[in-house]
Amino acid sequence: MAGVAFGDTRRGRRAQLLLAGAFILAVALIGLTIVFTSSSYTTALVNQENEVVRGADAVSLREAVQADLTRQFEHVYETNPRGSRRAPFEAVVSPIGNETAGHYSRQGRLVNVTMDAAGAGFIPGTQIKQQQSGFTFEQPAGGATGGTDYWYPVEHVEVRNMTLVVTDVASGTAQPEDAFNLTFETPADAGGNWSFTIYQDFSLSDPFVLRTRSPEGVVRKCYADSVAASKSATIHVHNGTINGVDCDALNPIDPGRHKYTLNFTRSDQIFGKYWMTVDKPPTSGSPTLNNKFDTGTRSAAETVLFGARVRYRYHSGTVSYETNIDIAHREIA
Amino acid sequence: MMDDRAVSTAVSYVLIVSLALLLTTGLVLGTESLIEDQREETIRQQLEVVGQQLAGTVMTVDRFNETEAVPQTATVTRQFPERIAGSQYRITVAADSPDDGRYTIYLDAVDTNVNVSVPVRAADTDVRSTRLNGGTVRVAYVDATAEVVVRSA
Repeated sequence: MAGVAFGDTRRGRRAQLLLAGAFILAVALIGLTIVFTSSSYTTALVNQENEVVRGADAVSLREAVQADLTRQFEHVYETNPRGSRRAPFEAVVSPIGNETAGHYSRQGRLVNVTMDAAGAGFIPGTQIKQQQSGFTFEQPAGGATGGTDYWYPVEHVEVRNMTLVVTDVASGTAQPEDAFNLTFETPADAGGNWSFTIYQDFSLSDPFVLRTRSPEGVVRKCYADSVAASKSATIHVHNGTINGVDCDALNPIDPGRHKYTLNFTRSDQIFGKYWMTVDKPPTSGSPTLNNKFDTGTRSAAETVLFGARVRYRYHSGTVSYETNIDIAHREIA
Repeated sequence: MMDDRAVSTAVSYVLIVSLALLLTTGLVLGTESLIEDQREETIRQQLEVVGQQLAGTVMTVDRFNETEAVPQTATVTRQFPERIAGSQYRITVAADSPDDGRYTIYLDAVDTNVNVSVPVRAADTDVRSTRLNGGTVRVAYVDATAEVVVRSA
């Protein structure tokens, strides 16, 4: 009997230990389960993120469309004569839109690129130019639109392909304060005013000086040979060169998307030609660009195609985005 | 001897039960503390994930405005969890230095003392200061005020 009782006690003790062990194990497993579940949920939360859900896909696709159409616009601009550029560009927009829509519809997204019919999607522009040498940079016609010492060739526009061919600089303009000055006027929140001044300092080995001043007041200079009637200086503002040589002082001039007003100051101190393309038609402004520049032989304001505007639509389960994209050559460098 | 053995068995039984109770109690208390720590850490991590994703979305909508023409429609809807590890949370968008485009998104868990902050940098637009409950949110560009706005969806 005693042996039996002793055996029962040992079994009971073992059962108690097993019970306690099982309880401990169960609590530990519950804790581990909670920890692992939370961890895997955090991982799942992180993995919900992707380009489509976050909306980055809509932006990158827009940028791709813009880059493709800009290349096409540049090609059309460079390979077709003025007046024959609209149809070749329009002919490309529709297939690109259809292909894009077809491709993304299979992925559950609506992506659409369209252009207004009948030429309404094009941005009209004007090429203003003083095409005869021997004249100063004073306003060709219509009376000065600024004060007695300055005038505004164009106001509140985007400009590209700006070129100045300087054939002479008035004597006595060895200091920038006395010389011709061109200012790109923009509001402070759009970057502030850039300006450059052209003068000749014959104490230098390269007397022709182009001095720029940034909105922060940083002054930079470039130098070239002196100019005369038989030896001009060609300044490509959009390329940042003088006579084909890089001019570091011009490189930072990049107002980007902002529109600005050009101010010619002391324009009687410089002689030569200039031309630029702006994003307004010849009939815009008061006085109009025609009234300021259309003088026949000396200067002209001609209608050109400045750019094109396409409609971009992107709709997915989480993103809804519609905007216009302006396709154009880059503005000033 | 027989009496002693009987007493010994009872004492042994009491000792085992006491020991088991002590161990179990300690384990429960220890595990509870561990679980609470893990829960707070989980909440912190998940709030950081939500905050980073929301900040990324705000910056994406800000980039929507980089075209020359103003977007007519620009919204992104994000389905964030309404509760994180069983706790509700609130989202606050605050301006630090709007002129420099610096903003901060704060996420505060309601049931615990866990909060995280995520910086946001907006390049083109302002971000409206706001406060809303966690869950599905809609980040939209508002043309009239040129702002990015975070709303409950």
